[in-house]
Amino acid sequence: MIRRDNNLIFFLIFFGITFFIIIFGQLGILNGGKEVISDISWKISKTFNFSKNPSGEIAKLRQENLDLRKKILENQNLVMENRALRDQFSTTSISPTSLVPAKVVGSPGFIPGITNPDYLIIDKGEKDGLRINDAVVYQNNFVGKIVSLSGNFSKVEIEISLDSFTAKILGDKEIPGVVKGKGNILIFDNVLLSENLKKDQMVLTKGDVGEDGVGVPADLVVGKIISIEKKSSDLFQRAEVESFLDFKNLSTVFVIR
Amino acid sequence: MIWIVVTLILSIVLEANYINLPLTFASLVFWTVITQRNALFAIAFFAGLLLDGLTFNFFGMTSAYFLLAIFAIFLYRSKFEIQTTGFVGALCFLGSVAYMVLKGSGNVFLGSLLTAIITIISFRAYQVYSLKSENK
Repeated sequence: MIRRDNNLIFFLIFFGITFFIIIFGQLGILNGGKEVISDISWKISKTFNFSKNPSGEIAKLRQENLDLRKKILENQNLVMENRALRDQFSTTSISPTSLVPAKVVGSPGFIPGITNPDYLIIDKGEKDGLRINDAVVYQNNFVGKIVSLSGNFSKVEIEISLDSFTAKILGDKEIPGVVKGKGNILIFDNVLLSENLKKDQMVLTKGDVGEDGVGVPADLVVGKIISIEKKSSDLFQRAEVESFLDFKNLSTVFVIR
Repeated sequence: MIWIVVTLILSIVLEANYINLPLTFASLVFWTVITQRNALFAIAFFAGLLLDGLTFNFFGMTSAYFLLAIFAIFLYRSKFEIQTTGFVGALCFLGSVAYMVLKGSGNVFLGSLLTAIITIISFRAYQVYSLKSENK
């Protein structure tokens, strides 16, 4: 009986250590330790290695090669992303003369820096020619609308806080709908059941510019669909839309005048 | 004890560099059945880590597998006699099958059979040597 208990203790101790090694390895905490043990393993292996061209060394080099290839691929992806971002920023469909840059001077939220702000305060106002319902953008992304302003400052209600605005999805054909802000998420609603919504489809503004030229222009990016809710018993289907913008960290926006 | 460590290191090197057979597992089974010492838990732990370091496997998984196997042997020991050719062969074969399947190795059946045969031969040789030593 005593021997069996001893076995159990030994087993539990070492299995526990192994378990933590596995968990920490998964979390990447033990990367340094892994390198050390791999080095030691290979040093021991070399001592007993009899072949002229040790396959252990080749295996290690192969692994290094694979790791380097992976890094090259990651770098290439970053270069492509960078290029795409630059292109998007430099070739906006909105005329540069009608864009008024504004600094975000206030963005109060429930937990600043963690939750999305309720609205933005920008440092441009009536004196700069801004009007209520002017659209605010960042690159080609829709940020929100000016809901109130003073001489030098304006309050921008961001898209996730807006009641609703018309939107669309461009695919084989245009799918109209309405985007409603629901707390921290956007819902693309009022879409006919016959329409075919797909995940990752881009949602764009449909445009609601009035005769005075004030309003949200068309084809501004609202976000992408992340989930779809379609029930045959409902009148419409809806989709959850995720914005590409990190509203917590916006420092500069542009008002379309 | 020194023999255990040396043979295990040799089997680790062979398994990692030359032969795609679960030799380390077989060595551990062999020594566990022969010596039945608790120190084998520690040896299995380090052997598994060394093997993972050499074969670039998921770190810790081989150690976990070895520890479970040794613990299973000790559990079986409490009920049945383990120093028999049948037990050694069967455990080695089944354990090797599971080990190779987990590692994704090919030739699972043939490899496990070969490993079991090597272990059985080693065990029988050890038994003969022990008998001769005792008779002297």
